[in-house]
Amino acid sequence: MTATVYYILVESTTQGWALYNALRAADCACRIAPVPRGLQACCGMAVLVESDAIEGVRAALAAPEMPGYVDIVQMENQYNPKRDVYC
Amino acid sequence: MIYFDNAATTLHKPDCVMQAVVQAMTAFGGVGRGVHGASLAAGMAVFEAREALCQLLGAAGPDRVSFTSNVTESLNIALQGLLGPGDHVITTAASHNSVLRPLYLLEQRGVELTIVPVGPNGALDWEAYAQAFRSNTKLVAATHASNLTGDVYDVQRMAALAHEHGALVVVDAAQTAGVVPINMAEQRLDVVCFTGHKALYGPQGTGGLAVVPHVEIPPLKVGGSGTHSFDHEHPCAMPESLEAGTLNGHGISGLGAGVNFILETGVDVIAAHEQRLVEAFEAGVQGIPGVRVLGGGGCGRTGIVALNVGDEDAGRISDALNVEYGICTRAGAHCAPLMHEALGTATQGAVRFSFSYFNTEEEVRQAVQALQDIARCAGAPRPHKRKERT
Repeated sequence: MTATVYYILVESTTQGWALYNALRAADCACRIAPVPRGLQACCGMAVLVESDAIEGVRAALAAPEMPGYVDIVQMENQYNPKRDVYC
Repeated sequence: MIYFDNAATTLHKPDCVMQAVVQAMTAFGGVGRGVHGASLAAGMAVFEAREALCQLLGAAGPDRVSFTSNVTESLNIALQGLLGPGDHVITTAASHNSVLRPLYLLEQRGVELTIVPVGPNGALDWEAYAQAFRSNTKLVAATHASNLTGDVYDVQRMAALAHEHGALVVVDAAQTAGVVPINMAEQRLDVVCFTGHKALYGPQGTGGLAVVPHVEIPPLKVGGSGTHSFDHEHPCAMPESLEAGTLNGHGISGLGAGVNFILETGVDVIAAHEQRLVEAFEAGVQGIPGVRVLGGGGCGRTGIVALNVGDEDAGRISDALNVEYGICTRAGAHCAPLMHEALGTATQGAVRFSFSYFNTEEEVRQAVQALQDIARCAGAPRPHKRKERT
């Protein structure tokens, strides 16, 4: 994962799936991911976009037929499994 | 065995349905619960099933399709959610108990109920329907096709009249989804309730309802939703608002496969095949002495033919077909008491033959032959002990 990631927050899992499928259909790199609890207390899932793909995603989201979403939140990626391995 | 009880549950499912269910049983975690591979696989399958149903029914979007365990639950959600004391509701005598009983219950809670009659051939009394509307008419619960006769009713016409009076239209599409074209937008239907295990070729325990965007139905049950966990209230946005508790992801995956099979095959192709079977069957039984085919008063027909042989109890005929010929039909009252009363078959019952896309003309030919044999013997002593009605 890149150092900075973007969470597209959604109201419901169905809205999340609709958005994810629409972005994938628009050739945007993204995936479904759990929402960090600090960000939102409604839906447990979000569409996660890495920093190198966010501009393309923003452009795709501007299309009128694109499903809705709640917000886009930028976060620093704080978790690195390889870094956190101790031996 | 020849299976002609598809109006109850389709026995023969497309291979893709079985494959989808098996795949789901080996790969699915909770739907909308967790964001890992197993959960996402389930979530994706359910979402794709919503999309397929949205396309089949002409719904506004996948977010307007909620899943339930069957059409009875769907109808209870719609009717109990939309009607309250002081409201007036209209339905027809063609309705199944899945419509009638929730309405009788609501009547006890202060909802006014009008049941529009049907004639002795099942035809809707349109004049009585037009006159049934009142200033407080909130809703029309319209049966799209009789589960007894297969007669299709013009729900678009019913909806047009209902909307003139400011009433909503809830359609019971248990017998039509998959075999009769439905387009909520074009036909202006507000709520369409469907079941998965009949003509949609899904497993039992699946169903749902599609709702237009301007109608919000409060939930019948509340609880776990996977979202808004810290709120005291259940989420108010469809589809999750009507889906408390973990969904039947395994079943819905099969339902989605069944709907996609229909979309790929074509509703018109499926309907045409069933009509050929109906016509061949009717032509075959027409000349059999004593056989009386019921209904015929609709604006179309699903793959159902209900009949009686003379004055013979329908259960006796159905039992003979099953035991002596291996032909599965449905006798009895079919949960359609008012329709039986209108047809004059409340005491005798009726033998219902219901065909599916997977039945063949050869099976129909065998059924006609069996009926010829049975009709010849009708009235004569038979090896079956007749159960007296009490």
